[in-house]
Amino acid sequence: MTDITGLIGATSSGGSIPSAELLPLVYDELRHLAARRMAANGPAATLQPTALVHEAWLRLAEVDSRCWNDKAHFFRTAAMAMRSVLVDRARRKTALKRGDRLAEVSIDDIEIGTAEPEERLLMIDEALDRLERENEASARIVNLKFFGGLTNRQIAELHGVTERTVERQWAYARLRLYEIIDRETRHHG
Amino acid sequence: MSAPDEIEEMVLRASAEFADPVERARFLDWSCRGDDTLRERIERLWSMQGDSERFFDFKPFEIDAPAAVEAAESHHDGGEIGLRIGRYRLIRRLGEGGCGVVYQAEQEQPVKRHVALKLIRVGLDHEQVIARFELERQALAMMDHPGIARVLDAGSTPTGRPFFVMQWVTGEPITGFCDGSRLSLRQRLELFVRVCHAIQHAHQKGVIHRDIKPSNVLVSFHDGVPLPKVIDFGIAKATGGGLLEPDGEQEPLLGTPSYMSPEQGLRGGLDVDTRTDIFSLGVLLCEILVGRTPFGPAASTVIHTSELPHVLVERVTRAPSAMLAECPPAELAALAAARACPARDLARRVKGDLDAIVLKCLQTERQQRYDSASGLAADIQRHLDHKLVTARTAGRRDRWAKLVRRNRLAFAVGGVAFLTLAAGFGSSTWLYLRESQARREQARLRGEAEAARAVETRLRGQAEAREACAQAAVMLSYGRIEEADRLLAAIPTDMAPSSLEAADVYRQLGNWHREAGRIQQAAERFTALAGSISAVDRSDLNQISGDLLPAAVTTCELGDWPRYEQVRRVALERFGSTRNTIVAEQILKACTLRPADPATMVKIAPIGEFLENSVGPVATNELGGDSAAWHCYSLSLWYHRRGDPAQAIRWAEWSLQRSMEQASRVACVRLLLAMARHQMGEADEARMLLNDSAKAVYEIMQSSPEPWAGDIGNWADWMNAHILLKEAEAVIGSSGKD
Repeated sequence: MTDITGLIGATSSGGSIPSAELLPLVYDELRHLAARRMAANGPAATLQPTALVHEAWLRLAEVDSRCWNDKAHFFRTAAMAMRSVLVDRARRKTALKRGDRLAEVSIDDIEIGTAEPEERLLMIDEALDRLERENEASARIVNLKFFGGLTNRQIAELHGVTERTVERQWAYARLRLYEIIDRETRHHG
Repeated sequence: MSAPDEIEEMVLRASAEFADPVERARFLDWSCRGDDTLRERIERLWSMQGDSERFFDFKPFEIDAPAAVEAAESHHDGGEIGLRIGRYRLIRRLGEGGCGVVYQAEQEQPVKRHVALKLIRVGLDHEQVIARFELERQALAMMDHPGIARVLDAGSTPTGRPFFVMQWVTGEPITGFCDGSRLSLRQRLELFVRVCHAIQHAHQKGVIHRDIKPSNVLVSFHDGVPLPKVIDFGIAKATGGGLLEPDGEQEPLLGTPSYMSPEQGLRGGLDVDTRTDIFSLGVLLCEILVGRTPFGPAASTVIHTSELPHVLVERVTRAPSAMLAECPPAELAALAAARACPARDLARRVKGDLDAIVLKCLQTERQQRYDSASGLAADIQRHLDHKLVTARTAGRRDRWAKLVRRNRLAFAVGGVAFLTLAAGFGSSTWLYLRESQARREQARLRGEAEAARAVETRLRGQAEAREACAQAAVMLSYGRIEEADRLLAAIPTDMAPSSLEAADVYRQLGNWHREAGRIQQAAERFTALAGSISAVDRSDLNQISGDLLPAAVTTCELGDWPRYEQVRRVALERFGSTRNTIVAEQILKACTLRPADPATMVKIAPIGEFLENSVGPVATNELGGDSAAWHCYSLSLWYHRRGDPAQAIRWAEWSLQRSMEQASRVACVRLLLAMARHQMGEADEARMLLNDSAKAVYEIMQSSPEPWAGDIGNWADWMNAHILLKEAEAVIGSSGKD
């Protein structure tokens, strides 16, 4: 990882720098992050890592005056931005399939067992909103790992815990999310 | 994490250590004793373990909606059939063109009917394509002609890909139709005239086809008469070049360039007008007449973009009759048979008028082609009526021959008498009458063509401006500043092209002029920069708004109020609802540099209020720094414009408290204070502040032989101070006199 924390610390303005200045510093890191996810899928991978990073970054940079205190803060925000990019894409694809307007896409009528990946992603996103209220720490792990694409090791470093702990937290968070989704779909079904 | 969650997680984790279900149950009995709810929950969660893992087993990054359709297309697996796009359901894939895929689709609402839906392939300049597309669909909607397939609807898919919906046209490409129905040369020409009329209609609405070829002219019989329908009108343009996909990554191979005019290959095809369609019509006419296009096979094979300009300009044009002469006898016989014409007559009938008409369409210089499609149609009609064609500088004998042929019946009956009569009147009189009629016809055609091109002229102006900017950028990179500047000086400031490249060129040249003290020219470049940059990038960033400041101060410094108002309007339109404090400060600063009318003040108000609300707590806490000082200054200026000296003083003083670092800002703030104190009746204080600041400002201005020339740090801020100084001197009285 690039030493972003070091760079942040080196600036004069009390350890926080605006996103516009941070972009070049974290760009490679973000790209790398996305590229690793793509690499696993071979040449058929559909989403350009650069495109993803650009899109994610643009969302971050929308609030220009926002400053980053440390690396963890930054990656948390970056992961959130990626989440919103991915959710948007999933929503578009779902809309396209059903011929719906974007605003009309609803996941209420989807069966948990037969959901397509993009539908699952939308369900996870919605359930994650709930989990954020109920168990913030678990939700944070999901953001970083699932949407942000960080490895267990990176998350462990950011949070100062062991990788094993991260893996356990992830398994638990996954269960909680699945439970929420299962409950929701039962309600509607 | 709440306490129950923590326990839950611990119990769950611990129970995972027991591989044996019986042991695990025993462990749960023990750890959840007395708490049945917890026990139930753990069991439930435990049972979901496998499902939850499977549920999460996919890569969220794989999901990419546009790619889903793209992939379906590229694999030709028909996966997109049945997809709904807006009100349309795709039924059948009809074919693939340079710029997208065409489907037969079904519309259900408000009427059930079949339509052709063209899904446009978009490349990297996605947003530009959509913008162009929006413009073009408005033009297309205006066309209403039986020979043109109507564009019924247009829009974009949920993924943002534009699509056109066109009238469903059944018919055969014109060349195949003519041969299949064994149309005679006369019938072919009559049909072609109808095509010309359709094209003329579009040209009068300002729409250029740009991609006329047999497959875009579909013909079918209506009550025994072959009627053409031209499809895909203007779509090549709406989608940014159509055949000419500029980025070679996506589309390494182009279609056949046989029907393209030379100018379509030059300068990215930007500089084309309606006469490009005349060229393509000429190629089409040639093919209808003699079964092949006028360029050799080498010039019509599939080629790469980079070769295109050479091929289009260097290819050899052959006359239709010359091609027939080279034709092997067997082929010639087939061609003649399809035209219901004796083989020996075919070349003779094409030679002369028709050769001349085709060749006139195919001129490399478009000035030498027909001015309009109706001009071309009229010439063909003249040929059919055995009248003189304008394409041919006909000799005397030819005229006479025509005269005889046209009046064959009269000649036959009247015989010698008629000839005597004609000789008596003098054939020259007769010919004079015909010639003057032809001249009037020409004038009318020219008028028509000029009207048709009026819309195009504006578009061409924009294309030329883009071209000039691109050239200027190249010259700048070679240090040829004067030449680059001359190119830009020719473009009116409100025609400045909107691209990052253009903005960059304008910015550099504006600064270059400023450093040389040529404020007038600098102001022009900066104004163009302001217009250019605010149209190209829609984000709410101070990098963009910062580019508006030089324009505001230079125009104000010159007293060029119309131009300043232009800049102020752009600034308020673009950033009126900003949510970025630095942007708000810059826009406020730029827009209140001089008094504004009440309507403008109303537009400025939200920016000022937003900044005041976000800076409010900063002003009262300890946060210092230049940035805060600028915020306070611009708020002070805003209050000054609102006629509230008390608030102006308050913010001015806060600004000075935050920072006194930049002398330019301090001068600005003090001038505001001077004017406000003057209004409050504190004359001495006001005069003192004015004199102080005047000294600082004049010192800077006199630091170089030309005012504002050379290397002045924060020159725009100093210019800002000078503008306020002039205002303060007018209010308080000239400085430095006492």
